[in-house]
Amino acid sequence: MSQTDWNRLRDVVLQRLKAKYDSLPDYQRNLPLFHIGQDPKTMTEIVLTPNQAIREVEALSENGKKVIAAVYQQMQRMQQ
Amino acid sequence: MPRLLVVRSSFDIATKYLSSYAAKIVEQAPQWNVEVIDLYGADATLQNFEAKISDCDLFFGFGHANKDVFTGQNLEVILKASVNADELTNKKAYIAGCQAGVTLGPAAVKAGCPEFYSYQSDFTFVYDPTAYNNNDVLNDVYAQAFFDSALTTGYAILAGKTPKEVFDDTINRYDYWYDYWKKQNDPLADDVMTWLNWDRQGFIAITPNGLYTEPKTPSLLTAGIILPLGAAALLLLLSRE
Repeated sequence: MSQTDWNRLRDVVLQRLKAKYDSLPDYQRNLPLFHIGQDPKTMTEIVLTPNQAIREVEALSENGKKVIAAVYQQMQRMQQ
Repeated sequence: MPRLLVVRSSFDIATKYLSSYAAKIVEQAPQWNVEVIDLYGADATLQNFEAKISDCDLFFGFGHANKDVFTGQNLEVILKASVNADELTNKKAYIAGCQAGVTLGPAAVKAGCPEFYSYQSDFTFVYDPTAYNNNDVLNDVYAQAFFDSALTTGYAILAGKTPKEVFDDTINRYDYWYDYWKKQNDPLADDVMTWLNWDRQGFIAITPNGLYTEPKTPSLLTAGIILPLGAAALLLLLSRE
């Protein structure tokens, strides 16, 4: 089993997220549009705006890794 | 007549969406000659669940969950893998919530649940905050794709389909919405597709004879958060008994 190369994935995904972000109208950039589950310990909801999603990915936080995984999975699917 | 117990909490964004869409299942279940016991909102408690579950043949849970736990109103624990997963013995179960397919599902199946459907990853959706604030979640164009796909699992179980058919129906519905959004000229279309794909990949059907899941995992992520190694190990144990 190989170790996940999060730094490499982050760079790939960030490029895509920023391109998508640029296409969003201003009012949507700070709207809480993405409900990405909840914290497994506190069960509080995790809701992200497109702005926050980019920041979480940049910081390689746990939520950021979730976003990276989903976007990367999607990119793989589109190449199939 | 088979009986279905539905637990659907309603107190925050996710549960308000889930419970609103789950109401469709509650309304339509009689079409399949299924009697419904509906524990909604403040009634979605452990006490009510324990009072009703033994009389039922099917269980649908709509609410917050994690690997080990399914919760009701205000996060009250209803099912916990190491405590009362055997409440689902001889009952087909579907939990529309995060990650319950990782540990809770295999524990329930080990305790005699014949079919358990849920997600191995967080159940994630894109929504329109305006629709939510206007109490119009059923007409939320973004969220509809996610919850309609999730309801498909319930409809297929009610129709008496096999685990393979239930799994295929659900995946096909995700694919339907994925294709729909591929054709939409909407700035959020790409995000809707991303998270539809995420939920689709996380959906799992667990039975004593094996599991159905989507195996398309990018190789770079295999050591990370996608593969439910705990579930795989548990099921390996199950298959050896």
